[in-house]
Amino acid sequence: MTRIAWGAHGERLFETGTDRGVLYLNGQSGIPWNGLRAVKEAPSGGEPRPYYIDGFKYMNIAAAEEFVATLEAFSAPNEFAECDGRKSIHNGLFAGEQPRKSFGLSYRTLIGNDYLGDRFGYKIHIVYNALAAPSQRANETIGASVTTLGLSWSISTMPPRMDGLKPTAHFVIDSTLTPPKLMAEIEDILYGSIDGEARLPDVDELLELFKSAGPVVRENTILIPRPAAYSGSDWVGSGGLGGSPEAGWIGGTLAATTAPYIFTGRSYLEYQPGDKITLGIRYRVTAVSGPVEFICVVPGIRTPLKYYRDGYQVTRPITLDQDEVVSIEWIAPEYIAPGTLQIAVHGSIESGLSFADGDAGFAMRATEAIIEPGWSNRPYFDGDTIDTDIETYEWANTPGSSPSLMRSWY
Amino acid sequence: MTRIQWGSFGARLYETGVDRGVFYPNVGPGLPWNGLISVKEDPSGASLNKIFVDGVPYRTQKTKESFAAVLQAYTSPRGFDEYDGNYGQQRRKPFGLSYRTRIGNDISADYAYKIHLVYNALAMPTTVDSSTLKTDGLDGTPFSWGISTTPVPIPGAKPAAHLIIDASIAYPEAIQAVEDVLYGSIDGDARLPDPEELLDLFEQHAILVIIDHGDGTWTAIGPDEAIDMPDADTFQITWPSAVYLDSDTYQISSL
Repeated sequence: MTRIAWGAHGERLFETGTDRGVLYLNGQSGIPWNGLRAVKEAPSGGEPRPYYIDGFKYMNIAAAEEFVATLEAFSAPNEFAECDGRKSIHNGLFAGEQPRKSFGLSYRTLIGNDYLGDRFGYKIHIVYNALAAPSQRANETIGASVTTLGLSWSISTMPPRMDGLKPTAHFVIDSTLTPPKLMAEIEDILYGSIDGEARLPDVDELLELFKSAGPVVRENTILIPRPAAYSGSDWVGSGGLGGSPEAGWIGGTLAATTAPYIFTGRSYLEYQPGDKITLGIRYRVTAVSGPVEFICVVPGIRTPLKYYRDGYQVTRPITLDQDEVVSIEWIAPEYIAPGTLQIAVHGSIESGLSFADGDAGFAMRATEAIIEPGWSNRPYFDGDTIDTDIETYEWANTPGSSPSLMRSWY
Repeated sequence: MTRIQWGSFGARLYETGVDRGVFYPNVGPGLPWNGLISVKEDPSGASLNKIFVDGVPYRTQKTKESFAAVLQAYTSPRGFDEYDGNYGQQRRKPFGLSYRTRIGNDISADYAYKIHLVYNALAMPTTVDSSTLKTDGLDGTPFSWGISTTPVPIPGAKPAAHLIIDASIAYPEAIQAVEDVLYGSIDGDARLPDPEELLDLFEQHAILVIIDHGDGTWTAIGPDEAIDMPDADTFQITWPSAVYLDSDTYQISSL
């Protein structure tokens, strides 16, 4: 375990600046807001209201919150006129005090750190259903030097409805946390690309984008947990249980006198002594033919030269029932280098039985073989697992030869 | 499809300054407002009232908006006095006003301008501080008037008291015609045209002119780049003011 470190290199973050303002109107493509120089967010509400009983604070409840901001700019797009109560009644002729239209807005703020400056990352802010309130315009005569007119608008918002979260009109997308591919996709939508004009995705679409490519929430760090092939001369035959094992299962016929074993792939992680490791694995044992009454398989952990069970070095196999799920929380006893931690599955034959080569066999599928820091015992997935509504799966790099990632919105 | 570009050449606009103030009395020609140093637009109303349902905002409704402003000037036109109640708490009269604000960009500080027209303005009483001259020279304390307005009918829009003409968008011929009316010309004294007349001026100087004959027929007059005749019986109009409402219906107007 490590002690907290303050102000570590690259972790001295700050936020600064605003740029890339875009105005979105219904039915129109996004319009760059040149001259936008400040967006002062001033959410209202949310003030805690304390309640007292017998002189002691009993509850402290926050009021509903609303996104409110003030925009400041040197100029506004012509299209903003109708949001500012000005209606174009002819080319260049505008009438004031007209109904104000609501609009969408996006802008970017920058995130900096101690060695990349303001290039560390950025946040894209998206504001829905904004309504600008009338504001003052102080037109003054030009003096000895030109003083630009500081335009400003107070905006309030009405949150669009959304499922699963309290409605909000303000979304923030943090580039330091969002997968780059998703970030690029969102920016293509917001700022336009060769495939389409700039537009404001509605809330459902935005959520869907993150659902389909949301942040990584689980990572299977063991390479190919299911056995890709049986191992060595302990096996007889060329694979396949009786020629037709179930899809996804690896098996073979047993030799008469030996105890075969199969290793899963190797973990990509390295472990320090004392790190907690979680394993989960499920086996199926099947007698194929002949007088076999019992076959046992043994979960174990093998570093290059040692075998462990429940954190202890073992020499004897342990019998499991068919389809039993085994979860092991294990404390790494020593440093384990990346690529050396494996799950091993052993087959053995009950003492006293004898049969000829090829008379019996077993198949194996490690459906829950997971090695992750922290406790977890959920079905194994890989990058080829079929996506669901809320989760997607992909290989981190080379399919079948890299950790498999699960992304989920929730 | 193109990606949005920010701050492209010539698109870095800003607004600044105020000049060409003109006071339009009810009777008589418009008078130049010398010494006008600021017009602080201060629209009132349009406050946002929220209706909540299930703890979340359900509808945001705004109140009616009204144009108001504060004028500051070192002096005022002589004819303004009776509109300022200066003859002893007399009834104040509504007047018209125009002023110009400048638009600059990254190429030119004189990129364009906006002409603001204010109708039915009513000046509110303000305090006037008169003090002895100081030894270091004249005291240039400006006068100040708050003005409120009563909207006038606007063709094609809700009643308003504040019209803006953007010279960066309007055709130069239309601007010229409007300025001839606002500031006077050889053909007439300066006066404030009512919104309907103003719109007519824009219509007359539109490049594409649409005339509705009122009997179900209409005529379009415009240059070749706007109106094309593929054959003797077919016309095609390509112009920003010709827009499809749906696949079978279009709307066309002078522009």
